[in-house]
Amino acid sequence: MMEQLLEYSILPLTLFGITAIQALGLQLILGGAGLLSLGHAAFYAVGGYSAAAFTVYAAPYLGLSQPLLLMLISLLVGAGSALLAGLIVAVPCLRLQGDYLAMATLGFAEIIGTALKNIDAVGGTRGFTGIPKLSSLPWVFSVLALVWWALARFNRTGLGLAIRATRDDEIAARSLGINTYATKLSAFLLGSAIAGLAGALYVHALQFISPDEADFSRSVVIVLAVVIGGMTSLFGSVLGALILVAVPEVLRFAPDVIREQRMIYFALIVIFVMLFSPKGLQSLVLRLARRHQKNESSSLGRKLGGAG
Amino acid sequence: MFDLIQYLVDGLAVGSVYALIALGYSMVFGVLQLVNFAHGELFMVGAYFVMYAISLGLPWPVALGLGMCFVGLFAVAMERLCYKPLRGAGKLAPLITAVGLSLLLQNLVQAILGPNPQSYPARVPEGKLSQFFGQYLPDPSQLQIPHLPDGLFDWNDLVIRHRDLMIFTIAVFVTLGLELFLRKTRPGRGIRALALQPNAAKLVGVPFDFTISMTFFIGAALAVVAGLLQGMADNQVTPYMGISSGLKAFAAAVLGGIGVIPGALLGGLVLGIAERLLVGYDLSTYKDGAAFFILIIVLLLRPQGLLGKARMVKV
Amino acid sequence: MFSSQLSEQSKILLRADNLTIRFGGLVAVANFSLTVPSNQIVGLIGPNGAGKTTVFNLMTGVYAPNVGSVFLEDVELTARGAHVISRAGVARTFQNIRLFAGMSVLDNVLAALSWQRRGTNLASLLALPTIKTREYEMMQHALEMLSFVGLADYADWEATSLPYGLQRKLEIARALMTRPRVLLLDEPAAGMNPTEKDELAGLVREIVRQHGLGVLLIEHDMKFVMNLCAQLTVLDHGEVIAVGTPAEIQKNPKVIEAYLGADSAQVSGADGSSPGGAQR
Repeated sequence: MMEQLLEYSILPLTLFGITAIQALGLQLILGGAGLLSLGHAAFYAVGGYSAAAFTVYAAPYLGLSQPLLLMLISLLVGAGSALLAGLIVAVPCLRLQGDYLAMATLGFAEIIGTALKNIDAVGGTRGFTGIPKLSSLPWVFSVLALVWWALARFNRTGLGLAIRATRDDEIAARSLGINTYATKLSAFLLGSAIAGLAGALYVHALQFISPDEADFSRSVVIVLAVVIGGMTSLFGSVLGALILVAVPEVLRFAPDVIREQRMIYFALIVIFVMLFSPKGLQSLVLRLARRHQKNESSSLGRKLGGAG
Repeated sequence: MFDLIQYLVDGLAVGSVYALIALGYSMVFGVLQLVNFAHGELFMVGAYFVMYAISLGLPWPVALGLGMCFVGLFAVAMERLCYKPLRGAGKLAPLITAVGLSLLLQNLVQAILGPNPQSYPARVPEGKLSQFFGQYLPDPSQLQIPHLPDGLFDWNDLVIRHRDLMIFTIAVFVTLGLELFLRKTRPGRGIRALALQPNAAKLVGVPFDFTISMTFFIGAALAVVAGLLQGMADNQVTPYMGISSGLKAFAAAVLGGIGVIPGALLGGLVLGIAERLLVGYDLSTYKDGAAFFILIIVLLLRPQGLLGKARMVKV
Repeated sequence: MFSSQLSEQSKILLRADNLTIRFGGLVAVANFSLTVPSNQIVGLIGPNGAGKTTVFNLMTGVYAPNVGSVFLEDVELTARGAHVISRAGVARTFQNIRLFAGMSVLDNVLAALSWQRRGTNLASLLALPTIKTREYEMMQHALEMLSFVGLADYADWEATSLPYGLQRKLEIARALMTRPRVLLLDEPAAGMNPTEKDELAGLVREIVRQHGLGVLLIEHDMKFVMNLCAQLTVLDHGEVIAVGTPAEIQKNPKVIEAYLGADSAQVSGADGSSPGGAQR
């Protein structure tokens, strides 16, 4: 029984870890830099496909077979290719204002999806199969932990600070000497590279990837994870990923009536979270915890303001 | 060369449907700066509604009118319940809610009416619903199913189907009518005022909530027209038709210049023609990417869209 | 007195020549020229809508002028990127306060140092020991700046939860962190009470005294401007109508007409020390 449960939970846990890494990457772009990317899954797919192509085609040619080394290199390939794809999209598009960037990334994702369907070497519409099993749950969670830690440190660096300043007020940021274009570009590239890492892990854990992974709906799932969790914190993104993977899984065990229509309940949850806690669940938790403290400080602020 | 002209003509019909959907995106974005992702689903719900109404034996103008009212009111309710509470909560919260609504509608329709495509006359899937409706649904053989005209204009080898011409004409007239409505009538001017200068509009007495509701209503009603046309042209409706057409219609709205009514028509036509060209030249697998490829190119050269006006940032 | 004594050792830092910008058909600013010397406070006044903030935006690269140029000493800054101009040594504050809302008071100030740490990102990501001292120094510097403007106790507050007057001071602190040679202040005293205004005037004088900056100031409070500035430029309908010392400006009939003709409410708000009031 226990063993069965464990075995059953490996796939959802792996998917959770991968979604969490994707979400952390998008958190930097969306929560950090305030850029809405609706094509995050495309960068993830680019990373996944490139990493898989590397281990399937390039590695035998180069005579590489040591699994640990192969996996490490394919992670680099995944991150690097996603970064490159990010560069192609971002260099022109980041000059556009907010909503247009969302549109351009969405369009880019559709183009990537279309292109992948038309490349026979990586399986076309059938998907890329025959990828060696190189990663596993421990790999996924190690990378997740590493990315989380690195991003937490990154937020305290000069660049991390500049990214948040640019998000809050671009004109003020520029008036302080921050090159906002370069700042947004770095956030976008870094976020895309992290998505590429997730892609490399995914293909080598599931030994398969299809063009559907670049789909708009996949990008939406990642945006939802970041926003539902609360886009201003890393914890929120991981929390959001957990909810997005866990809710449909848990609903699987629910009575038939609910189970069959779990996407409906899922959509309802999304809507209700937004209506009742637009800053995400993470803020709901913090709000409850800080209610007392906040009351105090705001009344103090009022007192000082009133004196002025 | 001859093929080219033929494909251009064929593309008009496809593009016209995109344009009718794009008008709704464009208007809502104009007044609220909100991308109503659920708008594509309104198109889908409208297509189903009209198809069922016709299958119940209603004449098509009645079915269309009912559909426009029903989906229009539904859109108004959606705005009041889901978007209005989020005004002032930033741009992302309503956007995500819209994505949630889109998912919800898609899955609701799929749950109730089944995931498979339906064609005229529509049948209710087996189960309690069909037992209930069975007694009301008339015998298919006695139904008057409306058809788009089947005829052809044939000039030398250039063939234009009557139905494509009709769809295109409807789209042009609807766009013109909407533009006239927005320029000449008081409620229409209210919408334009709200899009240009929300605060000034409120000051001079434009009823804010009413105007927004009206915008949603009109957008949804036009999507129903698109739904009927698409449903009759393809003789098929599916729960997923809103997603792909919706995304492309949104691309069309941005391409033409979001918030600009003739822009939506132009954007829709450009995308429709581009798709037809690709299909015509045996590149149909690239069809879905093409719309967005054009969009990105245009955005880079003219960020405000083909007919849009650049806005000044106020410091 | 105080200011005239300083002006002897001052040299011209910021120079705007013939700036003109049109929005559509409207000429917002026409043929605007002005100089800001070091060690001096220069005032830019005029009725609402005269184009004062637009002048700031032209000088700081938010807008590019149709005609004209901006120099900082010998370096041309015309239509360079806003961040380039800031790095060259021109800092500003904003009329409608533009703090980083999601960040703490300390982070708001540290953000001004962020690009100076560019080369150190990798090192600080890896938490190398060399970077620790550098980060520590920056933190120290930021805290000193906060206590200089009187915000030391609020370092960990959320920036926008500060009372209004303190938010304006935080904007000044943030601008000073860029180590500017010229500081542009856009209505720094707006919304402050008389005590706060006096404090602010002292702060501005102190900034000039300590760092030898040139300050260009937009302000509606005439008493504040007249006390603080050595030189005034008056703008009306986008054009300079008068330049001179506060005493000269107060007597200038064109200025009086511009104020009384345009908006007398503006003048009555200035405690009788307005140009019109001074006439009596």
